[in-house]
Amino acid sequence: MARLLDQRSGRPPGRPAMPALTAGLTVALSVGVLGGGCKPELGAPPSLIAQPQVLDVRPSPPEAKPGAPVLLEPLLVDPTGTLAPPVAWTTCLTPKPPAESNAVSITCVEQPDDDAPPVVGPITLTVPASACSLFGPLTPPAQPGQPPIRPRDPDPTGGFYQPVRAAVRRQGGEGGGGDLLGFALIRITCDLANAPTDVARAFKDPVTGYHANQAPSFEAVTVVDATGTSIVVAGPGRAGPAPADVAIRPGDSIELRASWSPEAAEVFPVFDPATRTLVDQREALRVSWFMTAGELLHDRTGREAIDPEAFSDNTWTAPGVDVATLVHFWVVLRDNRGGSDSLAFDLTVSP
Amino acid sequence: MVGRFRNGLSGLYEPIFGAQNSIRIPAFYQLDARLEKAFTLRRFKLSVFLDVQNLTNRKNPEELFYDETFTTRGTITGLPTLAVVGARMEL
Repeated sequence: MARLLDQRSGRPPGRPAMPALTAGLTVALSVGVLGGGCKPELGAPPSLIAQPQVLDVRPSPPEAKPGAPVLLEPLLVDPTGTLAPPVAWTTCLTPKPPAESNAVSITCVEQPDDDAPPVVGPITLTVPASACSLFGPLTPPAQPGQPPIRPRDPDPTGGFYQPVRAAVRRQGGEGGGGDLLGFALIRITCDLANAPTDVARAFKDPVTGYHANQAPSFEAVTVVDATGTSIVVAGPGRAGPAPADVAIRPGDSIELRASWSPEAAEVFPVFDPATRTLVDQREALRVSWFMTAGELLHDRTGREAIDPEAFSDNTWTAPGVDVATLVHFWVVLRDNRGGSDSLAFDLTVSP
Repeated sequence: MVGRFRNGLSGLYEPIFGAQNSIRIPAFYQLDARLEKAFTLRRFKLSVFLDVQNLTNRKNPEELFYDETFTTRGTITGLPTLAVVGARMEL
């Protein structure tokens, strides 16, 4: 029998072509210029203060029971230094829907300011009596026509937080000079939910049980200048320009060290729902660094919970300047239960 | 993204999102070209080709992203010009 072949494919007539994926062999060599698809660096580093910003909204004490007063202190800055504008305070009463990814409900972000006039400096507000049901482990009140919703889940430290908004109203669009918004998240002291009775009793034991969070506090910020001299430039009760013997030239690399008291990282019990027991945790501490000129090696540093050291280092490269220039610095220390502390200092770069 | 706020617990900024679909990624266009030559041999068919994608090397935005402080918006672009030389053998 004559062997007839398909003129184009070389296969016998009537025989379906085999899928290229199974019958074919493809060899390809890419000679293109690769390197696209990467996420480039964008914008100024978070540590550079080039416009007004809210750096912190510190609650004192950082943990309080519903109905208790809390002092709230905003830290607002711009390239000229620390600011003290009038701040409008609004207590959030809307829990965050599960579908929202931010820490607070968009309703609280966008709601109108309270009627009280804006205040310059710290303010004392009261934690709402309903905080443990709105934001805590108690079952929230059902809304009319709505099914009841489940209580909130705690964060990894077992905490629940009452948001309070601090707003500085300004003209212009956000990012280009608009409103400055920050949220204080006050840790609420609520009863332990879903725990066995003996565990709940142990949790409330005044000696061995849970103690409300205490804010961490800085001991000092020191710099090591180009001559190797270590000098304290900031500490409790000390602010403003650094001592005159801190000699900094343009382009110098200056070692910075923020230190805090060893007791700042507290140990506290957390209810573990898997084992239904109390487990001790230790606070992690983070330091956020900010400055108005130059470059910091890290925007944030800190110590993990397992790290017992009570200091954190960073390196600042002084800017290139032609005239003596004052550079403002702020450092904010935070524990992971909502406590914070801050220090401010200035360094002068002299050509 | 229409704004931002500082989270006092984490110390980080969080974005305030605008209405859904209120922003679009810029238009995408790309010119691709392919040259292919097939040879019929005794027991198989051999095709060789040169395939060039994004011939104009246009930086096509494929995704929006923001810096950590949500003050600057950028785009992630797709592949630059990509030339592929290949061969395919069909049995």
